[in-house]
Amino acid sequence: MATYKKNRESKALELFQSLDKEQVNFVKLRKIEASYKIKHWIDFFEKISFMDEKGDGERKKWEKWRTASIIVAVLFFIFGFANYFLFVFTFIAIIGIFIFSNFVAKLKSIDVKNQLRLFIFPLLSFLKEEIDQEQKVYLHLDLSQINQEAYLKETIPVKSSALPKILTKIYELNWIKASMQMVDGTDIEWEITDKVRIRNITKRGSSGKIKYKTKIKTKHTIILTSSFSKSKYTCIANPTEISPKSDSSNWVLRQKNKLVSLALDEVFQLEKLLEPIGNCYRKVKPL
Amino acid sequence: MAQCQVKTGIFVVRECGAISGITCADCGKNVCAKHTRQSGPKAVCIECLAKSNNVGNLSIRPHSNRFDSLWYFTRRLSFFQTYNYTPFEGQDYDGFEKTNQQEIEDDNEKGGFLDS
Repeated sequence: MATYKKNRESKALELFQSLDKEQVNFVKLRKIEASYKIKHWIDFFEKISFMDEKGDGERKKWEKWRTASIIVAVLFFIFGFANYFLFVFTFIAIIGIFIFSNFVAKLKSIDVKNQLRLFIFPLLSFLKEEIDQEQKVYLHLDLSQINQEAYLKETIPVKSSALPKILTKIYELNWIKASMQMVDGTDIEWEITDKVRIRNITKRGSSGKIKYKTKIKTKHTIILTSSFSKSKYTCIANPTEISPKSDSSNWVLRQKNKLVSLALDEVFQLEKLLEPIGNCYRKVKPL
Repeated sequence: MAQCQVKTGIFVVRECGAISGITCADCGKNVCAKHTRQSGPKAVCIECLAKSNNVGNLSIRPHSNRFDSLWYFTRRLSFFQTYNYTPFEGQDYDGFEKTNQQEIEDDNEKGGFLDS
């Protein structure tokens, strides 16, 4: 357990200092791959989610203070030429800018994507009753920013030097993969892959001014595979819906869903994963 | 002793089964302490409270960030209604379990001298 130090600046930083080694590693790298029981995963993510929620709130607060300090510094700088004493306030405001920027930077360094506290942690909490408590749940999670070099799949360069110029970059990231056994013995494996297309457009407007625009389109692909035991279920799906991976012991059903959003970090809704699981269960019947 | 009849689970629901000392004032089910909630002057089961408590309000979240029972039951009800989903009941599996038990008992029968 990491040593705990009271941090007057921030509740979020205080919580970060109380995280264990593995949790700190996850917050810094934004990645984890392990198999634990469901209770362990929930405990693991609970504190990080709470810390992230506090951190997001505090960061917004300090950003507002920083913006206010910048405005105050600029105003007093301008008025300072009329009364040199006002430059003192400019100096104080500049110190404030540095202090608040420091807080914002520290909180940014421990920021985790909202997918964790608004999708993954609620999902695991929700499925807790459904998952076999004694079996381990495999989870591979990568919450890194997708729009970075490591995940760049394709670049479509600008076709000509004339306007409009469009530079297209396509990123792909398989950010979550999980495998779990339900209380009825059914094995569920699922993964979500995001493909992001970012287009930087430079064009001339009707007034003749050059305009810059960034357009983002994200395609989420959810692939879900369910293995139902033949000793407990009979399959009522169409033969074409049954996976060739089915064998003498299990019916294997596969669902593939695609969702499109026009934002980079849109948070997944729980139901977008529950629905395909439910659809697989609809295709079987208890014996 | 009465057992809690509140159903847990999403795709396969089964009764909680914990020891119950209370009866829900709305639906009359036996309820354990964990699944009992106060609704004004009466004690109700958490399933009845979820039905009456802004069903479909997905933004219900507790203060502590640990997702509590009311959030779970409200969200589950919303999922069932929105996607028109009917889960399997625990008794749907009873036939299989009894068959297994019957087979075990049959295996344990002591055969006679002339049995093959």
